[in-house]
Amino acid sequence: MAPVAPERRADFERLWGTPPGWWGVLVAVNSQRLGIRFMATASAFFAIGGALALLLRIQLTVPDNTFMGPQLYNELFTMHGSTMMYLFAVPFIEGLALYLLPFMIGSRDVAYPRLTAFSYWTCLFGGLVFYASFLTGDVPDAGWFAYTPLSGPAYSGRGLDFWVMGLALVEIAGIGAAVEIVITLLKLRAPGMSIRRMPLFAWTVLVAGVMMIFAFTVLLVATALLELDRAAGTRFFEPAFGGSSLLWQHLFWFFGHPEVYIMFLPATGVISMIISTSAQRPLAAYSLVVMAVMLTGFVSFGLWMHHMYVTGLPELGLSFFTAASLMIGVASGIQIFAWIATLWGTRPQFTTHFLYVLGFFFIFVLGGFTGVMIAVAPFNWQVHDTFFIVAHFHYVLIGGVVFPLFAGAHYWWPKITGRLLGETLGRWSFWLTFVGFNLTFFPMHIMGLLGLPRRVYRYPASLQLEGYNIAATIGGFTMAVGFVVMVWNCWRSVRDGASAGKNPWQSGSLEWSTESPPPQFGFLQPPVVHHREPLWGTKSTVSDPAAERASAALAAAPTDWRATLGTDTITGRVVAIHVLAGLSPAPFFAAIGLLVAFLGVLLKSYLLLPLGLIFATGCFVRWMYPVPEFVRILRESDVPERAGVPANVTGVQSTAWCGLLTFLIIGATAFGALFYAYFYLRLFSDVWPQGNIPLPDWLAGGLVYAPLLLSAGTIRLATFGFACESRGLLKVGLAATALLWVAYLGLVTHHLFNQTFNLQVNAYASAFHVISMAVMLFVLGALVLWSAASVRVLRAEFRSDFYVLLPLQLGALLGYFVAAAGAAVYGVLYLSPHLL
Amino acid sequence: MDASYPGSSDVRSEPLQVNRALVWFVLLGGATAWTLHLLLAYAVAEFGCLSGMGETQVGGLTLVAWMLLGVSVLAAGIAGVAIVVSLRFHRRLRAAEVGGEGERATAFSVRLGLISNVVFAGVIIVQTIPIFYYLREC
Repeated sequence: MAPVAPERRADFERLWGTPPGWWGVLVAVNSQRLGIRFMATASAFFAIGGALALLLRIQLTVPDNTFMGPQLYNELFTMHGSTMMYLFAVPFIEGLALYLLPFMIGSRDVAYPRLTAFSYWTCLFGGLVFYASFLTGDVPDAGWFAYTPLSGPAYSGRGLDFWVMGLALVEIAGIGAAVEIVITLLKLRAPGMSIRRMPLFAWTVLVAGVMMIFAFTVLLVATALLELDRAAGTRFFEPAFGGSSLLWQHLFWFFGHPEVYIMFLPATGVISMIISTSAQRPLAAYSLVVMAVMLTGFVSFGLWMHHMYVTGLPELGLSFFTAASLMIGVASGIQIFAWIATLWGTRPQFTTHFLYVLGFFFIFVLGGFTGVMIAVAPFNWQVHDTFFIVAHFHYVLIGGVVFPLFAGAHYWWPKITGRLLGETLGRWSFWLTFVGFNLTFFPMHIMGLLGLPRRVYRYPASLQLEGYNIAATIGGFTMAVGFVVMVWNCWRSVRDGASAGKNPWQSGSLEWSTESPPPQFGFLQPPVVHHREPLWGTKSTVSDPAAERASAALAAAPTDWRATLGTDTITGRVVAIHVLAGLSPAPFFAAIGLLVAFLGVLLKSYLLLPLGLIFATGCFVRWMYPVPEFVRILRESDVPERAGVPANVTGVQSTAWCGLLTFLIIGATAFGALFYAYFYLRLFSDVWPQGNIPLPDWLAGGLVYAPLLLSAGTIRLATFGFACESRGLLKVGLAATALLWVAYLGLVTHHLFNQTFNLQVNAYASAFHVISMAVMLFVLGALVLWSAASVRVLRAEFRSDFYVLLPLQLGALLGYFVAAAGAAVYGVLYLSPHLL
Repeated sequence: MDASYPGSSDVRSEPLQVNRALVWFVLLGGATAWTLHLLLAYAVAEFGCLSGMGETQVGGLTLVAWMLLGVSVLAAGIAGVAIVVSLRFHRRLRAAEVGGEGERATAFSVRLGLISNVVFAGVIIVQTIPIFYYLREC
């Protein structure tokens, strides 16, 4: 790698840097900054959630305790669970991934830096909304799962609105971060980093990211339906009006079970990286471990029903889920044997991070054993809703997630801060946490088997469980001391810790090739990868001149726009230069707009809802609209020519196109969840449509949805007109598409207003109206994008570049989606009632 | 879409032509088959049993059991095709002297697909076994 002149580096630091002060905080888009913020915010919530847990332990220490009443107990266990599941584990993992991935895969930043910023702000605001409930005294009290009807309008107050609104913001943040992670990993890996050279942490985060896209979307739909029941009077979860309480459980656990693996898989990635470094050899059975990660990701979606064994489902159905539940143990087993094989015959150093890995082994394997036990339906029936389950999931979540994350925090701390942590304090914190954990949760297995139910604020002395509970409380406080020692260790390290250097653990992965802490641009010259462990492997004798040329061209260049190399997903062949977005306050203000909209629902000031959404949409448009001067600079740049690859490609190679495709997958998942709800409700109804509602008129419905279907043809006309440079055809196609969508919006609005039933009549009516309105929302979004694309295309010549062709491609992609969605909704709402 | 790997100086002068859609099928075919199996089997079991199809017998088996067996055969068939395709692909890549990183990455994807297709076929079979306990009821 040729040396770079100091002034070039200074230019680069200016280009990629973040300004100081509050303005810098608001406009920052750098993944390192935001990754640290994610982790710091999640850690703060972890401390609060832990404090709530200690209060719960105090209450349960002795029988018939009066330390707190049942209402406060309900509120505290709800907030403890919600905090740990939604505000700590996933955001921390997202932060770790966002910080590490660019270095690990040799990229300068993530694919959509502004989306990272938006995700962070919405996550923070979501957490604040959760905890704002303490200020008003309306604290959520229906558990982290919020089962209906307890969470419905009849049995819970405004606390649940805080819960739903806070959770919705956190879900949006999670989906945003997941899209970011997935596209970054698929598109921005360093040249030469083919699919077989991806670090295992990257693999696990990739699979978890894909899972988040599906699972969080279903939860978002479920929470939207719950809030509609609470605020708009729909009847999705009200059995008296044809709704179903179990529907909530299905939707919730379709998210809830994969959620466990969304947290667990990246944790196993951390373990794989540390074990490989500790053993100073590549991980054994790389292919099998990757397969096990993929298997876990897929099969975890087939386990949701094992949380519902006692709800009276058909035994035949339960048997599939028992089988799937047992199969996932195979995948975990493959990983554990691979780790053992890697360590076999080596002499690892027992550093603090390695101790946490060993702690993970011990605790997680025990949690896995009890997991296999409760996967079996008859045993599950016996221990359901007892402290056995509490013990099991804490062994899995703390052992399988928190210990690996602590291991990772100790392992990468020197990279993030440039300082080493104290080993003595580290060992103290580990042993206090490890002993405290087992003292807290192991007795809960016994208490559960003896019949102590969970979520009950006190127990009688006659159960003779006082000894176990006292031990658990002592263990809880011991664990808390362990955490405090860890924080003290971090504080000491930042103040006067020893300098870490680039690679204190002699690791093989790419992130250790940068300075500690790394500069904000990551790599001055993009690396070319020749080995799965780039820092251990020797340079390949097989050269890759295209990659070397592109890498050399981007050495401290360009200095007026942010660039990183893009590669083919499977082969790692360099294919493009991607332009990354720079500093902007738009993500922050977009998150503010969303917060205002959600607060409008929470406070029942419904005018704030459209105002907030319009403001947020304006921010999104501003965020994505390219500055003309910037476009000119980019078009005149000679970097693409020197690199031998184009900048800002279009179509499937562009990150924008892939991002929109991912968004459409999210949309399709949302429609899938709505259709599932519709057919689930239909299954449990004697008559359909319910009540006295007549069968839908398929002819009238066909007329309403016909414009959407026709728009697929006019979109094709527009793209054909562009391809053959016919301005006439292009204009007709663009205008006809927009007009058809406007016609659809008018027709469907008229159609809904003229129905003989509103959305509050019964569950069928709710589903009919809500599904129809979901299509309208997508069409509205498509209309905005299509209009912007039309203006851009009509103003420009027929240039096949990023700023002209791509908007048309994106508009067309979204347009085809709304046409398909319209056809599917027409089939479900207007045809299926006649057939089923 | 066909792709070659001109960026690498391979052992052979002409890069191996690879159908990318086929690579993705090899990689995800078994997983897709399993997803299809689970969702359809769940839908048939849940909706079929509750709608009374478990009480209709055809040839000594309930309608639900017939449908489940059909779903299982379909899913196992897709997984089987994925296994066969990945096996043939794997052999082809082994026979060709794989040289450049692009081809090695493809070979890795195919090997990964082969293993996961076999595992997913196994999962489908394991999930089919319980059906035989419920051939005459739900």
